[in-house]
Amino acid sequence: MRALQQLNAMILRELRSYFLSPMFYIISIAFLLMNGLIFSVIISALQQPDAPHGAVMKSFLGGNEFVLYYIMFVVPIITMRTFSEEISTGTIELLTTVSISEKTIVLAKYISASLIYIILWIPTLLYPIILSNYTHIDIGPIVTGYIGLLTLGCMFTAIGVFFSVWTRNQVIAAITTIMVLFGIFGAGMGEYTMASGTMREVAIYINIWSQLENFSQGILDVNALIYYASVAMLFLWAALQRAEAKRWK
Amino acid sequence: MNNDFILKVDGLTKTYANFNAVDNLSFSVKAGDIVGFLGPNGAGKSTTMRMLTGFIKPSSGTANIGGFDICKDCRQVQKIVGYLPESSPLYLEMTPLTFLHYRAKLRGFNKQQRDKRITELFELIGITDHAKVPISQLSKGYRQRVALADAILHRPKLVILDEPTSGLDPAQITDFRNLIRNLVPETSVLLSTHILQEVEAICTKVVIIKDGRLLVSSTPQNLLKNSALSEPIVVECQNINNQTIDALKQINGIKSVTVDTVQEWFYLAIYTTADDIRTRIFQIITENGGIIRELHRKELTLENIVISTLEGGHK
Ligand SMILES: Nc1ncnc2c1ncn2[C@@H]1O[C@H](COP(=O)(O)OP(=O)(O)OP(=O)(O)O)[C@@H](O)[C@H]1O
Ligand SMILES: [Mg+2]
Repeated sequence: MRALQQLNAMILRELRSYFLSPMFYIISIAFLLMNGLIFSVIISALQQPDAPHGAVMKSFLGGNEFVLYYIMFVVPIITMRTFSEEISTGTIELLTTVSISEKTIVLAKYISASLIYIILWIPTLLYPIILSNYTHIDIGPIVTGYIGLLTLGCMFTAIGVFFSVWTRNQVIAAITTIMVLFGIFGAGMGEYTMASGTMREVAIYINIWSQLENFSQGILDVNALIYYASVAMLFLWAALQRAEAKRWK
Repeated sequence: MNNDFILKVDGLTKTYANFNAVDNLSFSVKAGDIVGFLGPNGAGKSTTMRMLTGFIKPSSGTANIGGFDICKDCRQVQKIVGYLPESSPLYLEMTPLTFLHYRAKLRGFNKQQRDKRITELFELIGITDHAKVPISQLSKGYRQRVALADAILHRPKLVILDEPTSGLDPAQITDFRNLIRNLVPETSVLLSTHILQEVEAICTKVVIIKDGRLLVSSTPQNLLKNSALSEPIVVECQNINNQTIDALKQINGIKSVTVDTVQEWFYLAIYTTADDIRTRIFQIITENGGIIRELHRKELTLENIVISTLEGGHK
C-alpha cells in the first residue's frame, strides 16, 4: 500500500519534471519533424504508379530503418537522466532515505521513462487518421506495428535505466546505452551475413529490424515480445542489484 | 538499549578503496541533545551521517537509533530519522509546495495530513510567501529552509543536519539556530558544522572526529573545564627582542609563547599550565626594557580548544 503510494508519487514527479524540461520539447519536436519527414517521403514514394497500395503505415511503422535508428537515439536521451541526474545533484540522498525500497525506485524510474517514450508516439496517430480520409486503411497492421515499436522501445528503456544507475554523468549514460543498442541491432544483422549455424539462429531470434517489419505487416510476433520482456527484466534486475548495493558514488 | 539514548554508534567503519573514511567510531547521544559534530575537511562527518541515514552501508560496526539497528532495520530507522544532506540538494524545477507534497507522499501522508503539516511547516520556517516560486529561483537561505522543512516533515525522533547553516547570512543563521533549538525535546539533533560559535550557541554536546576516528565526545562545558589549555595571557608591548622571549620561556609554568606584530607593537599570546603568573610576566618584560601597553587574561573559547585538540590528534 505504502509502496504503491510511493510508486505513484515518484512517477508523477518524474513525468512533471520531464514536462518542465526543455530537453523533452527538443526531442519531441525533433521526433515529430523526423517522423513527418519520413512519412512524407514514404507517401511520395508510394505515389508512383507502380507502388503497392495501402502500404504507407506499414512502411512508416516498420518498413524503414530510420524509425529504428531514431528510437535508438531518442530512448537513451530519455533515460540518461533517470538516475544520473539525481546522483549528480545529490537528490538521490533525499530519495533513498525516506524508507522506500529500491524496487519501487527502479520501477518508478522505468515506468516513467517508458511512458515518456510512449507519449512521444501519440501525435503520430494523426497519420492514419489523415490517411483514412484518402484511402482505405487496414487497422490490424497499424495496431501490431505500434505494439512492436512501443514494446521494443520499452526494452530499450530498461537498458537505458540500467546504464544510468552507474554514473553521475548523463552523457556517459546515454553513450553507453546507444552503443549497446547498436550492438544488439548489429548482432541481429548476423541473420543476413551468416550462412548457417547456431549463431545465425541466435541472430534471427534477436533481429529487431526484421521483427519490426513483421509487426508492421500485421504479425503479432510473440517470440519477439517474449524476447523484449526478458531483456527488459534482465536489465531492470541488474539495475536493482546495483541500486541495492547502495554505493551511489 | 537504554531508553535514554536516541543514538548509539558502535564501532562504525566505512572503508573506501584502501583507507577508512570512518574508522571504528563510537559515541552516543541522549534524547533531547543537540550534538555538534566537528572535524576538519575530510574527517568523515558526511560519511558517518550517510551511514546513519541508510544512504550508504557501513563496512563494519553499526549504530542504533531509537531502538532500531541501522543495518538490520534500515527502513524502520529511516522512518524516525530526518536528514538534510550536505549542500541541501533539492529538485530545482519544483516549488516548495509541490516538493513538500511529494516528500510527504513518499513519507506515507494522506492528503489531509499533508495539507495540515505543510501549512504548519511553511509558517514555522517562514516560506509561506515563496511557496509557489520554483526552487531554482529561491535564494540559498530559502532553499536551506525548504530542505530543513523536508528533514522535519515527519516529526522525526532524530534529525541529522549536514552543515545546515553553511552559506547563510548572519541573520539567517540566527533564525536557523532558533528553529533548531525549538526542535528539542521531541526531536534530537545531530549537526555537523565548521562554525564553533554555532556549537557554543546551541549544542549541548560535542563530538569531534579526525581521520574518521573519535577525538572527543563531551559537553562544551566539560571541554572548557577539563582542557589542558589554560586561558592565554595576551600582552601588547614594544621594545621586545629574542632575549625577552627566551627569558619569558624560562618562567616556570609557561607552555608556549607566540608572537605577532602589528606595526611597532608586539602581541604576545602566552599559554601557561599553572597558576596566575601575570605579575611575573610583567616583571620580566619590563626588566628587559619592554614597554607594556596592555596585559590581560583572555577567556578561553571552544575554538582554541578544538583547534588545539585537532593539532594534538590521536593519543
Ligand atoms: N565515495 C567515496 N569514495 C572514496 N572516497 C570517499 C568517498 N566519499 C568520501 N570519501 C573520502 O572519505 C573522506 C571523508 O569524507 P567526508 O565527506 O565524510 O568528510 P567530511 O568530514 O564530511 O568533510 P567536509 O567537512 O569537507 O564536509 C574524505 O577523504 C573523502 O575524500
Ligand atoms: Mg561533509
